[in-house]
Amino acid sequence: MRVIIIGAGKVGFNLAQMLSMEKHEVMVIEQNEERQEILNEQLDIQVIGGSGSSWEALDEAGIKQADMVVAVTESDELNMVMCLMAKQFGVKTTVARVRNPEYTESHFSAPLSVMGIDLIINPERITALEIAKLVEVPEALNVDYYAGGKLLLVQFKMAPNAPVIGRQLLELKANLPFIVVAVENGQQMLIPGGNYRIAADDDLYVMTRTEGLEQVEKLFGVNRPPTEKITILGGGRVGYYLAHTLETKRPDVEVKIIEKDGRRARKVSHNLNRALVLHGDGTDIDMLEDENVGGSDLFVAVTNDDRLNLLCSLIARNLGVDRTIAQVRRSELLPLMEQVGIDVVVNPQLLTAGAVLKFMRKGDIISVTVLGQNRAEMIELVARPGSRVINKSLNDISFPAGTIVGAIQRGNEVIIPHGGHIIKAGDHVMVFCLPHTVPKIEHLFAGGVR
Amino acid sequence: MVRLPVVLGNLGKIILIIGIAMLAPVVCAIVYGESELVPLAISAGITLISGGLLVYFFDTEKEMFYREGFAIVTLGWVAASLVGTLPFILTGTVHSFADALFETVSGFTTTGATILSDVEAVSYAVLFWRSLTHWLGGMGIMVLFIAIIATLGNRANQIFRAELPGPAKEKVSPRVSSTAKILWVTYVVMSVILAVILILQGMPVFDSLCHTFGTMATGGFSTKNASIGYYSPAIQWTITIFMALAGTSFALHFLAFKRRSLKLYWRDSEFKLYIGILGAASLLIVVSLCGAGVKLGEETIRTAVFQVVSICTTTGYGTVDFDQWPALARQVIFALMLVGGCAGSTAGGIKVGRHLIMARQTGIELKRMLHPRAVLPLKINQKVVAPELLVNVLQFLFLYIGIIIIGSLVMCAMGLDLVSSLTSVMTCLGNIGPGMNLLGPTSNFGFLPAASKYLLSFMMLLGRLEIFPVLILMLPEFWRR
Repeated sequence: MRVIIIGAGKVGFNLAQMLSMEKHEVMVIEQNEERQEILNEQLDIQVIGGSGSSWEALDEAGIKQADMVVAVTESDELNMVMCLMAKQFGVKTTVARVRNPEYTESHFSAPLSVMGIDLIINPERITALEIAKLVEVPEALNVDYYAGGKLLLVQFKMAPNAPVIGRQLLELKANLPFIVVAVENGQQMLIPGGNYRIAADDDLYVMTRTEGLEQVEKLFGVNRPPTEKITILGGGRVGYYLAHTLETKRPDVEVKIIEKDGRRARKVSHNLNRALVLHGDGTDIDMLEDENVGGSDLFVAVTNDDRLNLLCSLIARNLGVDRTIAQVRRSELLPLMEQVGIDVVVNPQLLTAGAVLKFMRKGDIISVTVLGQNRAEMIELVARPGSRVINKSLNDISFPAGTIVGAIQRGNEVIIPHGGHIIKAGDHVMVFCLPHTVPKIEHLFAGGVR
Repeated sequence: MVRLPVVLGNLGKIILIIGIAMLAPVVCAIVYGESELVPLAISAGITLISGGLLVYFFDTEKEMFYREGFAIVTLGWVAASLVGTLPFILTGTVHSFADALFETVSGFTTTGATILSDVEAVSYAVLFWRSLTHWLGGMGIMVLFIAIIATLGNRANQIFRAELPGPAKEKVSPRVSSTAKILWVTYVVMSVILAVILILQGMPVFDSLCHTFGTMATGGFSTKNASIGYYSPAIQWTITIFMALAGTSFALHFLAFKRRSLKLYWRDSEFKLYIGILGAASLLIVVSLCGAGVKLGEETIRTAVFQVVSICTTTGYGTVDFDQWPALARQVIFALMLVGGCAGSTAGGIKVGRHLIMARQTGIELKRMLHPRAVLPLKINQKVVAPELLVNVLQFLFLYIGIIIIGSLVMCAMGLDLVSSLTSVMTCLGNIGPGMNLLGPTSNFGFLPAASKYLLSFMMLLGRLEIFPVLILMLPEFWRR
């Protein structure tokens, strides 16, 4: 696939890196000469100097032969215009980064399809929605929903005093079926067999029906702390989107937003109805104490400054907040953050890349979720009639090592399968894949009639 | 700088509009074959000629200045009230100028307080004029002026804002003149609907028209001594509903009709509070009446709701003498005199919208004490209220209370008792109608000394124009070059 990326900021860089690793032909158009050099040095891609809106640069990038254009410059308007132009050249798929909510959140968002944008990505919004999901299932480190919300995959950390420590997986039984699709401990990620013994600090990835979540939590001794009070540090776009989402999704939650910039604080307060907007510095401990931030169930640090997010999360933790979520943009810092005591770290670049990836994999693969630092993937495939897996039981299909079927959706029914289950034509199969096994699984499901 | 020719020329146009309206009672006199035909025709003639002369001699084509805008609003109302006295004086219905002025101002400002002790003795034609002044003043003489005269230019907006009641003024159309037209058309259509319903419910055509004028304008002049109490319960309910509608923003009525959606009403926080106040007040009165031994039934509920809506919307119709009610019920009525209708309605008073803004701000001030660093914008209907508007509302309330205090001091000095003087000023400033004690719903203002009638007329004008446009004319600086 020939992909043109316009703008090599953080998101553009991350995307270029990911796509070139997946053996796509990547062209990057970037104006800034310093950025050009960095790209040339670090990535196996072609860099073209110039503005994304110049015909020459686009021609040089071979826009007429391109399959996909991803416009991620700083300017929303430029990104939208680029997609419009790309469509004129016959590019099949266009992706634009649009951050301004006025373009995407109005009731009149139809024009975006008129403009020929196939996917709008908004890193801040994706990040905020991800955090909002964590608010819904506060005990999990990560949550993803499948099959229209009927299935979910949660990531739990096993506390040292959990009742299941030291027990084998096959000893654990519940009324509702569930599957532990993966265990991560430190940097290691593996697919456990029935005889795996759970150890302290294991991260378990459990697939279950949504209604069975509570039972699974009980079984694993994960307690569900109530989330009633949330403090958000930073009234930027992420903070605003998060508060806005919570206002509609969880009106019972008391939300406070701390914003340093007076103007921005006023603007946010104008656009929100219930949340309490505080004008102040997140490192001002007096204010944090006055506002009883320590009494919050969750502290979310989403300023633009990674260091500030880290520092304030630690302060909040010290004041007695149960859980902290921090946004960190520099992906090389991610492993460090959890060691110092931040419960969940969100990285907008990784989330954005995941969203684009999900979109690119369209076809037989319906949905992709990138999981954990190891970048394992949960993919949803359709079993086409005539493909090799049809009418075979899971035991008889030779699944490549490092993959496991987590669930099957047949019509409106969702099945948490055991080895004897038979895959039928038209089934949606959720497969958990350790890194690098995706092509093998695609190969296995390939063929058949569309 | 105020250029008198420009002001006088425009006043001439306003007087012309009033003169044309005066032809209606002339027609009425012809229909009923009344002897008042000649004096009514003379008053219409005087009005039309004086208006015509002003327009003829003075320049009206010049662009108005900001100050002239205010001068035209206030002086326009004064001029309309002055020529409006002619039908009363020339027909001999009223004998003193003070009485005639009181009656006319009470009509135009939709107050509905009267000096007549027996309205049933007055001729049809004069009664018709009396009620018509309500209807003209209800939606506003200036709004009508803007709707008809298209050449007002940029100043039209200022005149519109100065007359239309309420703190925040919504325009339903980008142009003021078309907004004014839309409001008047909405007003006329609702009036027609009410008149037809009243006629179908068996009210005589003449009475229906007069009571339609009184109801839609939230005025209060009736053609019967017993006011609405004279008519059937069904008619009383109809009038109750239409008084409540007239106390609601007409822009809201128009938008709800245009979008064919009743949800619009429920999305409006002012309307919700307004309905809440009406409901709570009615309930309190029913409880109070039942506590005093009145049987709970349709009649009790109807009387309570009718009085509550009538006073809260500043109409002032009556079905019973609420002055005979127990203390709690009377106190509720007293409190309602300080509420008023919604902004953008034909009602007077402080307005529910202002109460809403002040109540929200109180909540915010309290919250600010808890969270000194919080950013707490004042929002109504999810929109932020500008700080200047908040100051304006607080200032308005200060002036309103101040005027009541000073006005009642003067009334007391003229020999009235405390309750009568307090409620007389409140009822006139709020454009309501009946007061309490000596000026209760069954009595009238006729016995008061002439000086107090001038004072109360001034109060009515202050209340109708919401104080500021009148006060600014009192500022010496205003007239200086």
